[in-house]
Amino acid sequence: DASALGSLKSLADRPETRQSVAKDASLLGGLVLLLSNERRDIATAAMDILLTLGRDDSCRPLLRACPGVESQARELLAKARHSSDAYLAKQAQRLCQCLRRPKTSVAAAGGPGLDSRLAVLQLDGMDPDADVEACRRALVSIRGVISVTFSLPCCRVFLRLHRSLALATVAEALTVACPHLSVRLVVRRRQRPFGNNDDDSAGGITETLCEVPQSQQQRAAGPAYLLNDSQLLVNSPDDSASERAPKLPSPGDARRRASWFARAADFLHTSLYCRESRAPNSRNARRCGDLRHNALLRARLSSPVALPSEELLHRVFLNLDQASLARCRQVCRQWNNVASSVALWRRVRLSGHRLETPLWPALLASGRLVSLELVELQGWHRLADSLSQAPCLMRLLVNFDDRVSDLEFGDDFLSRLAVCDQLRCLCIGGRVLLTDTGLADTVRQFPCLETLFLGATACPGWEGVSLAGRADAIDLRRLTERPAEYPAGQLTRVVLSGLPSVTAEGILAALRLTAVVDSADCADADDFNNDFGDDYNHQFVAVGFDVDMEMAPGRLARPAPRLAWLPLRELGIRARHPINGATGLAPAIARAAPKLNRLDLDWGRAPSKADLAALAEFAPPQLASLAISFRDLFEPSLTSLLAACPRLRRLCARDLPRLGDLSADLSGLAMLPQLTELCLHFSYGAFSADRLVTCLAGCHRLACLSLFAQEFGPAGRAGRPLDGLSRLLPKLGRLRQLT
Amino acid sequence: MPGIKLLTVDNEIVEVDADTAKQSLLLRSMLHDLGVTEIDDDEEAISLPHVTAAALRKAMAWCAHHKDDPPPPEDDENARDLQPQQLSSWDAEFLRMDQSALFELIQAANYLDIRGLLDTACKAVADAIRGRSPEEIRKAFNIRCDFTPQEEEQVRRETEWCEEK
Repeated sequence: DASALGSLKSLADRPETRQSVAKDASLLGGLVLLLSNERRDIATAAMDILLTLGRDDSCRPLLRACPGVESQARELLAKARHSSDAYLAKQAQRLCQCLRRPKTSVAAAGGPGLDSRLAVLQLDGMDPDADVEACRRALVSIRGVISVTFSLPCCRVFLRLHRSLALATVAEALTVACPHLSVRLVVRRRQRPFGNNDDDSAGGITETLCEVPQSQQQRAAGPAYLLNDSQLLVNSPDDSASERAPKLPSPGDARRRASWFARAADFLHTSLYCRESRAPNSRNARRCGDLRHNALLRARLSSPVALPSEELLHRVFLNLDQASLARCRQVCRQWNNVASSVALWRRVRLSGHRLETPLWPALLASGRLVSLELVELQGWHRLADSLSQAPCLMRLLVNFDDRVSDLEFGDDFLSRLAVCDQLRCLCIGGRVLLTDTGLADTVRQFPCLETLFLGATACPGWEGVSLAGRADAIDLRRLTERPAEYPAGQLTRVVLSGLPSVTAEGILAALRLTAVVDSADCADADDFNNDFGDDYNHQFVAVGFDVDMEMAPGRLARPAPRLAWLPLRELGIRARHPINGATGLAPAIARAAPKLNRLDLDWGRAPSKADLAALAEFAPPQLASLAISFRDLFEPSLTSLLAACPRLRRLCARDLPRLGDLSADLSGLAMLPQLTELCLHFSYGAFSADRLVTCLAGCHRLACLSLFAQEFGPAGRAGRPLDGLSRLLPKLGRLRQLT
Repeated sequence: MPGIKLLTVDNEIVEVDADTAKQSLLLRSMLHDLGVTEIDDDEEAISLPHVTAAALRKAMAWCAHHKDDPPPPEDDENARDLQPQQLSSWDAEFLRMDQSALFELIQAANYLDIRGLLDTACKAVADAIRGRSPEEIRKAFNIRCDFTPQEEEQVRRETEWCEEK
């Protein structure tokens, strides 16, 4: 009852009496039972007392040992959560945390992925001079012993063992080698580890493993010995078992081959245990003389130069791409063996027709493919079917062969990729006939998606694709009401281009940037904010899409300020058809994305002077990258625009008329001291280099200059001025001229 | 915490800081299993039969520099495979040594079970391999080609697809 609990609580609160409470097992059991009491105050009081005990280092083990405490605590936690009792839930959670056992040191010793452990054996009666060598030989010849370290003053040996190896086996082998030894396992921590061993008996520190020397008969069933040098490396599942079923020699054999074992021991001592390696292919490896030679050779190799073990080589190769791996396979037999391991081929790029060859199933065999790039794919059915064997796939890049004219893919292709729910990057280039719902489903289907790239870059003919088949109805509500179990999107980079069946609204809806709706749908922008304002995804920092006629610039301006694309940092607008009223575009961008630092613009027609002036007026001041297509505008006026973006580092101007008309204007380049990359694309006329040189004189940081022109000025004059450029610009590392 | 003494394979006693040494899982579990809580001056050195003094010093210098690093995320191994990380400039500078010293360091890291150093050093070796032709690799790593011409041709044919653009 409550009063008894109160007195108990005061006992538990005092450190000096706390211990006595914890030591009383029946009292603890009673408290645990009270946790399930129907009265909340009693359950809470019991919980508080248990928690006080659990926080005390000395009481915690006693609490842990109490039967049923953990299950009761969990039950209470579930119950409290169910009835949304925040205080009780928090207390119950704390109690659960107290009860959770710390990780044991054995797990830490093995480390992740290493199947080894450490054991310390006490070897009583060991003569430091006479027996050490024999013991060491016996130990290193056991399969699974990784390293051996003796501590002679206290007659101990530290072993690193494979987990599958039983300690009793090791002890047995030791007593076979030195019959007068008694072997005990050191099981408890000692106060003075390296001191004299007088206190052994007092603490009951060791556990008897094998005190009595084994009789002659029992010796026959010894541990698995290393048969020979090659067997050390035979551990691979790839090798056919029948080919080399090792015959286990009796310890008697081992003694007869003492001299060989001495070599083996030396070898082992200077090399490392191999977990996943193959036998060398040497044909004469079985012959003893060769073995000896082999062991010596390898002992030498394991010091400098050649990589010592195949396991380490494997580790190195994990960092290599496929082309480097292929070259490694051609280096020598050992490297070929290691680099052929299917576990290494996890990032693969191959041509579509290889899907029909045996190579493809072989690559899938590991089931651990993480990145797949396919070029010139001619059909997707085989791909979609086999990807079920690649559940780890995180990056999929597919380029369809544009020579296959009737190949297209849409919603059904993406829905068949559903098994790859780890995908972070999905890029598909080709004729994409995705519908709005298909796009939304894609975003939903891959919750980890960070990059989504769908479209036509690989398929230059996309402009010819019919615009028919546009989805009529998009259920915006369905897209905005994100179900609770659907995790917040990771999507940070989206590029969608040339998707004839997807509307701009569909894209925005899929990205949950549903701000662009007609004012008829949402009369009051503030209402809209209240409904959806908190739900929009802050992650969208890059959105680029093609705009067709219906995506009027006015729409860009519409997003309410709070809801808008505030986090938007990259924006690409590439219009297939001339955008009317483009003068409104620049202010719209400025309003929608004040943090923009990259802007890629194509009006679909030559921008007017008013367009450029508006852009100059509203350009975000921190803009670092700007690409504009001038569509052969006769007198482009860049000066004011460049003056408005003093931090520009990258400038790309496409479809410029010839430079002759531009020289006055490009002088604005001199105002861009931070410019590192410049790309100028002249669509017609000859290019005169010396004019450019004078324009660029101020860009001291320019590192990359790309020039595209039909021809580079009159022959004989072209070379010299550009040579002068490299003198003028000390940092210019890359100069490309393309005609 | 005072230093612990380690006896290397070349019979040199290296004294290292115990906190730094605990980044090695081998040393940490050894110290833990033996219950070393305090270290006396007359303590005997722990013998490390696979590690040279130079490699040990180098490894401990790495550990000292990376002492405060957060542990690498265990569960995200796939993500690391997806995009192998570049070496930091400090690591790249630190690992600028000749191949044999680098391999000694890898062996030491493997034996001492210092996961971060092992990964880093393996990356450095991989960087040395990347972009080289088989012949150049053999030269750099002093490897003799033990293929027969037929085998070499076969491997070349098997790996042809890797170089396709």
